[in-house]
Amino acid sequence: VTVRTDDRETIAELRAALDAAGYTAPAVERLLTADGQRVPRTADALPLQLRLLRPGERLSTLVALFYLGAVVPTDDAAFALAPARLERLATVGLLDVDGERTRALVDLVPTDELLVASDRFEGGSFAEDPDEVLGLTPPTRALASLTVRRPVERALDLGTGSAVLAILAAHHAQRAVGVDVNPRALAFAELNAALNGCENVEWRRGDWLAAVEGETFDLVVCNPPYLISPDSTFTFRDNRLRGDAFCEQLVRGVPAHLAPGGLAHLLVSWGHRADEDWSAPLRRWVEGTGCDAILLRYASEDPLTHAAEWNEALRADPERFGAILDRWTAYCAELGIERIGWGAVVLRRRDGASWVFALTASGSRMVPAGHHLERLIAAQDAVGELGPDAVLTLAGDHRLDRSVRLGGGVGVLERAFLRLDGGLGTRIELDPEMLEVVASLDGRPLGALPRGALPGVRRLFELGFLVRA
Amino acid sequence: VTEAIRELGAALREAGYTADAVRRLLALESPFGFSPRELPLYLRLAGGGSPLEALVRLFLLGASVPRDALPLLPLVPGVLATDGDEVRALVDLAPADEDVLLACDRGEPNEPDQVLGFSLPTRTLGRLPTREPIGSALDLGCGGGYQAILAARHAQRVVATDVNPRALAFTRFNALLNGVENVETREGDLLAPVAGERFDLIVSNPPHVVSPDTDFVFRDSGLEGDSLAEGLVRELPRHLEEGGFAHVVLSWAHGPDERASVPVERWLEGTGCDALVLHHASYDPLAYAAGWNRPLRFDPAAYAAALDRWRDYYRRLGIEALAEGIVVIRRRGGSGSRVRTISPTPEEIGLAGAHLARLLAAFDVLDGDILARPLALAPGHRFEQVGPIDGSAPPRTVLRLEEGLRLEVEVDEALLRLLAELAEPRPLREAIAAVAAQAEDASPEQVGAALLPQVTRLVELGFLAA
Repeated sequence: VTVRTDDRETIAELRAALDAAGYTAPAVERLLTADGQRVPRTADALPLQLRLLRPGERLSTLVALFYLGAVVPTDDAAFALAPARLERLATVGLLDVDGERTRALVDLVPTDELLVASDRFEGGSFAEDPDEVLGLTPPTRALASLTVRRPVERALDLGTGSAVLAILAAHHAQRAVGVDVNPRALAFAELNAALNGCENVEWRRGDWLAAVEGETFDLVVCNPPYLISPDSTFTFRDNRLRGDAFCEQLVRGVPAHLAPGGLAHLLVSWGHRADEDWSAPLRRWVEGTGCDAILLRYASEDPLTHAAEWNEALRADPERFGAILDRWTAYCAELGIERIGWGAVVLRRRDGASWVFALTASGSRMVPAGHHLERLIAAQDAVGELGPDAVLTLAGDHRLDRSVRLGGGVGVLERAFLRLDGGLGTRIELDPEMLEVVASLDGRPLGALPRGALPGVRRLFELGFLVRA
Repeated sequence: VTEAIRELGAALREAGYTADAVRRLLALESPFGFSPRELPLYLRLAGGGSPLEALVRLFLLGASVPRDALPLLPLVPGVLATDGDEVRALVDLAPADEDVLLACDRGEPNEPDQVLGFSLPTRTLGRLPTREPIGSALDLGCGGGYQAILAARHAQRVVATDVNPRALAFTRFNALLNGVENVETREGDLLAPVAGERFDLIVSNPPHVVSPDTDFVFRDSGLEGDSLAEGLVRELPRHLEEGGFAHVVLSWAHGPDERASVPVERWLEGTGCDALVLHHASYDPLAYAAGWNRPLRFDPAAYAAALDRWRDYYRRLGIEALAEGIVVIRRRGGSGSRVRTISPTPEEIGLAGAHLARLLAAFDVLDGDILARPLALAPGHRFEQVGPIDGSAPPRTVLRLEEGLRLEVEVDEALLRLLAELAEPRPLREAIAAVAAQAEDASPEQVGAALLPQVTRLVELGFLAA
């Protein structure tokens, strides 16, 4: 199935029907909740989910069609989708109308900000089509949350897929370019742009940076096929280079397409040895790019765990599952990969000597973190110049978690942690001395603090707990 | 054979075959994170040459293992079989909580008389009794005998009953495996094998699921609706010695707008027993059916049919809400009965005997003159405070018990000031007076009136005790 986007009228009518029925993320969530528990979107939950719906009701029919992929009576579909007509939705490639029974050929998933059309998600597994187009996946959400959202002139989404990142960038860029090598992805991208009223993105078919030869951007976002594996099954997931060479090329190639001051946010995966720091390979990649870099690690795993996680869908077939575990771990062993990291490289083009800052993110990857990222960048720009006159103060979003026990009638402090509410979820334990220093900053310049406390204070500044007053 | 089973248990312990070691080896996220679908992964994680890995492959993963990879083990018939140089196990044998080793049937439930292994309800139930020396204990519906083995460590004699003879065989085997000698097994339905007998402690995880099916002995009682729960709550008091405790995992129906404990209160009337309802959750019928039929979910047609059959059954019986929990009954003489509901998180519950004793003592504290009572914060409490470091906004304070049921409550600043006076036992009246003395313009009566509802709640939950 390839969707068509020439019938704008039908797409507009579809959007109107979805809006009229209240097809929003919270409404779908409420409907698919049994006893206060959200029923997960997995294939085996389908019988339960179908029983939570109210047959014939418009919202339920839309959820059955576009969220659960179920077959519904054609009359119900016609009622729920009016004013859009079923035969025209079928022509656009969204529905399969078979007499009394109708089913959707795509998923339409409402998120907080967008309505996202993509290929059918079969509850954890994908149809084995190499050119499968995914909707809003957790990694895409992570990158969307991480992106610095400032007004810019030109934005680029490389490997746009169903175009979530491009459309979000287009909200704060004057113009955006969305690139994909997969023509089916571009068809979904155009459909999603139309569904979401987005008109300032130019869609280009092409192979990565070759599609933007000679151009520069103020913002680049990219959720590439970063998976380290011996397979090349899916366009969205696999690349044809060995190990992490694809991500390395991307990190080295993007800076030439950044305007001065421009920011790139790239999801990457990389291999490293168990006895080296996780950031070592990434530091080599960004060297000499003329960019400052923040290296962010979300997770790292050993090759066996990595293989098991990415082949979730094969669990039902133990023999195939076992075989793929062996093939993937052998591949990593051959490349000398003992750990596999997953995270983001953030690059900023700037003249002069560049810095690199590495951080492991620990909180939810789904909460906005762009503001935190900007704070980390500002801290690196300034940390070398903090003189004795500099005044630092606690960031407004800091929280102190304290554990206290009552002993002999007085509270005894057992442990104290400083953390940031939201953002990258950074958290650090403070010893009693440091706690006292931080609690008494109070407009005092660094020169007035105990000398021994300065490295700790500097670290809190680098992590975004302290900002310049 | 008896001696060989004891030796097998000793050999496994010697080899470091513990729950923690297994969890680390298989990278399980929780003690109950084992999933048969991950078998290919587990076989590779436990694919090395150490004796521990060989034991895991043999006893948890169902693999054949070369004999020379294993530590020296007695080849107990019916448990281990040899095929040339290879050994395989005929049952699962898993390390459970509290250093108990537990043999059970292998795999997901599919036989009616299947004997299940260690599970979260089993662990939770096992953590509730005090470990004080007692005379007699009963494990009713003993399955693999985990509760009987724990009880045998502090009771002079234990009776373990089950309607399933295979369960009794597992219990006898597991008792030997764990070096326990004082467990007597009896076959029979529910309380029939102990007619006329009384015990100091009764623990029971009976087939309590309210279901139209009779597929599994461990799950379905075959009784209509929640009559198993009703029957046990009404009958158990007669089998308790004075001061004795019963801990029983149950599921029962209640009105959609009614407190979950209401049916339990009715059943206990006139028994002379106090009770705590540890209410884990109440479900609507569809969610309840979905939860108990999870093993069917990879067969969508069977899963869908079960959901419909169960839902129709609840409709027919007029059941709109189903509770799950553990009912703790203590016989105290007389004929009155008092019931309180507590809602701990099952995963969090630790050894709770002392905490449950405080909760039961709270009935008397609250029935008397609370102001005259010396009260103090319970051991194991912590205050967790969250807020800005500079005091620009008052911190949010959570009082947490790190022992027992591991409950937590939010406390405000006024209550916090009172609790600071109760670090050591002291009559509540005095503590209130001390707080009032620090306040600008509040009399002890005003402070007391403002704080008494919260203090009462803290006594009910076992944060404050006499």
